[in-house]
Amino acid sequence: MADLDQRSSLIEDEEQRAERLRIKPIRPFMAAAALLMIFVTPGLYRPTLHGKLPFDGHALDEINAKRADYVFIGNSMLRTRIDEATLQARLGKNCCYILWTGGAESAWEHQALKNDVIASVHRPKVVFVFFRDTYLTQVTYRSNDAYGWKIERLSHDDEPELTRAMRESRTWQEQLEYDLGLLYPIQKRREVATYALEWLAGLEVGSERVPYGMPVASRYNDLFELGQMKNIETADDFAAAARDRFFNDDFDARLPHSLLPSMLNLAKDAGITLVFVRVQRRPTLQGPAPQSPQLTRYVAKLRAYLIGNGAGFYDFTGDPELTLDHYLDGDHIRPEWKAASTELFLRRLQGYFK
Amino acid sequence: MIFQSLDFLIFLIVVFCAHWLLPWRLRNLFLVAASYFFYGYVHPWFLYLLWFVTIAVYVCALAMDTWTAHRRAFLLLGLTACLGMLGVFKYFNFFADNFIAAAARLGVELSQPAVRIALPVGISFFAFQGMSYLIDVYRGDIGARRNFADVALFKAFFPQLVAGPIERATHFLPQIERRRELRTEACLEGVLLMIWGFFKKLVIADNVSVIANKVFALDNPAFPLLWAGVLAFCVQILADFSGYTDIARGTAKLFGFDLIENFRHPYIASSPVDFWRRWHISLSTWLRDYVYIPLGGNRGSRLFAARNVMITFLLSGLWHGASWNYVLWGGYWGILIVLYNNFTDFAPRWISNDRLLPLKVLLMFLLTNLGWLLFRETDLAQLGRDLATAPAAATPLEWQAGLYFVCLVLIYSLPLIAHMCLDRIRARASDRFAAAGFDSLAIRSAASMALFGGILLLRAASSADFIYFQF
Repeated sequence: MADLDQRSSLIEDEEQRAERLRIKPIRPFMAAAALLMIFVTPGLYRPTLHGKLPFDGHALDEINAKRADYVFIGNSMLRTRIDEATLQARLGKNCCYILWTGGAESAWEHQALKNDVIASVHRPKVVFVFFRDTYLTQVTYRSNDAYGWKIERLSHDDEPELTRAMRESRTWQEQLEYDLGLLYPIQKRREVATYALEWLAGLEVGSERVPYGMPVASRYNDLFELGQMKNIETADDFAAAARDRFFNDDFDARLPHSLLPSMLNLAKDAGITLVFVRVQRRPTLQGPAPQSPQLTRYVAKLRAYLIGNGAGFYDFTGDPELTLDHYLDGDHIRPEWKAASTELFLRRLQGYFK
Repeated sequence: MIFQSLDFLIFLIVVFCAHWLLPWRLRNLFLVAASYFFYGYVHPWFLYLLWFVTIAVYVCALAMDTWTAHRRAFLLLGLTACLGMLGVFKYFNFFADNFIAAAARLGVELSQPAVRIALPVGISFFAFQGMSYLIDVYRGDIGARRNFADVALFKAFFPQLVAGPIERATHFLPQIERRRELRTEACLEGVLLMIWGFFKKLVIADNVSVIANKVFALDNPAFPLLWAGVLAFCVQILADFSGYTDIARGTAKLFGFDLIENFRHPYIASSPVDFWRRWHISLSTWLRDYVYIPLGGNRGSRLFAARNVMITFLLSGLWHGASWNYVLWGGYWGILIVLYNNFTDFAPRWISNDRLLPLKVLLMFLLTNLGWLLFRETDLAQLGRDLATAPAAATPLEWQAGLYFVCLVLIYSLPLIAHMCLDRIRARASDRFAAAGFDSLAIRSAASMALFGGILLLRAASSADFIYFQF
């Protein structure tokens, strides 16, 4: 700004520059051809012959190999609460299998139960499904994009129940997003492409070469453990916003469109005891996180429905042993409390471990 | 409504078709309505502020034209409306918090105000645009417009409403008033520009933001992690903001408008002054024309000129956000420019040697990164610790991780670097460039196809709001 004692001349410069970059007049069909080339060509790529990602049987193989009696299904709520080593110390080696993925919600849990647990040769005695608040009847929550591909990898070609529930529950935006996904299946290669870039970045870093396909960033996870974070307000705000979004829920209206009845039927047919475990939201200094009347009503109805249909239900909300100091960000439990949280789980649900 | 949403895609298609199907006299009115819908889509109450500023600016400008003897009074009234709104909605919490903290230091305990005021998106942009119109009318650069729809569209045109570029009435109002024709090549140009903007936002900014967010969430990041995070933020903020500008400019072209360019490869600037000719051009020229020059510019003593630079840049910092780190950031740039101006007067001649240009660019890039650290770190105590972090204290794993993140940021930045190189070549040898066919429609379409494919393949798992929305 120092030598700018006269009014702006940049706008004129910019106009000259814009003039230089301007496309010469063209006929509409030329523009249409250009647009077709831009938007149609990427849609021609098909990652697999019929578009669907192949079924990932790695969890199924592990369940078969382990022959576990207790299977836990869930997301990071499960991962931060249940410690496999503690379970093994208490219940014996290979007693349990933890089937989890980041961000998994009800659709993924349904597919995991159906195609991994029930499809296994050795049927477990009890399956524990971890969930928060109303997510069991929110079929489309975390079902698109990268979450959707996780569900797809746990699905076979024909999944009528999942297809029905999704079709009935999607909003028009979710449906459009899903349809765009079908139009551009190249997106299913996103993880591969991202891995490739990360691998390339990590190629010459460190003393040894990282084998292709191994996520490089995971080597540095310890540096970013939740305990190293300066504050957790942001994560909490985000969690609160997500929570509020799902508070207004009508159990009776949602249930027929959810995958919950299917989960119960699958477990009943397979002779497996299904136990739904509601995790406690991050409490406040004054006690458990406040619940809206709608949520209280919803949970009461959910409990009655599950118990009435032969499933188990346990709610950790308000547990006096789960205080604020056990929590880290959002609803995650501190790593140092993971073993204690597992012990608490075993005590509270000891009836299922006889 | 945000650009990177399906809602916007549908909105854009509907508004584009309806706009060009309507008789041309109704088009501006329709765009005003569409812009209000766009702005009020999530929080309709934000519209009241926009309407307030629009009406205040319209009425005061007309009054200046009508009662010329009281021009100054009406100017002040209009400016008070714009600045008053900014003061209440953007700075009230900041000043209240600081007042309470200062009182506490003096031993007076004051309670927090009962209400916290939410910051409406884009408030600084449309307030500044309104002020520029008032000042231009006051100076006689343009006449006050009687057609309310024209002024309303100038204030609310949806592509640039929430994050600029901050348009000038002298540049934008004539475009609103003329009869716009649907030009195929302009629309195609707009689409290509939008694709490039979306690529910058969804692929570059959103991916490197993961690194920056991770590092700045750490309690005490080690030296290599900290500077890898700063580099990531440096790339993120450019890709994010210039991406927004490109989408805005591209969208405007679909409706027959040309918005001013906001960025010209700022990271190849060779001096602080050069940087501000390339970074957020619409804001820096606004501050220059409406603050720096009226203050006296560089006429007068060195001290007087330095004072003007410092005031301008402190205001620039405060414009960005109601937080001390932004003020610090503005002050940092002010000091750099003052030092540079005085240094150039006394520097030996060899300093201006062209061969030193790469070194100057590198030095400027490092200084810019230091600036971004001040900008990104909102906690001043943490900032102090960051600046005191010693390289020797880092572990080998931290060095390895830092280096890895730098490599990843560089990989994601490659399209930006390639674009910069192409632009440089094009500017220097535009005829040869065109002759070689690099400007041909086929090449540009192929490049855009690759970018669109890149968006599908490489976009980050989640997309955050544009950084400049908060300003």
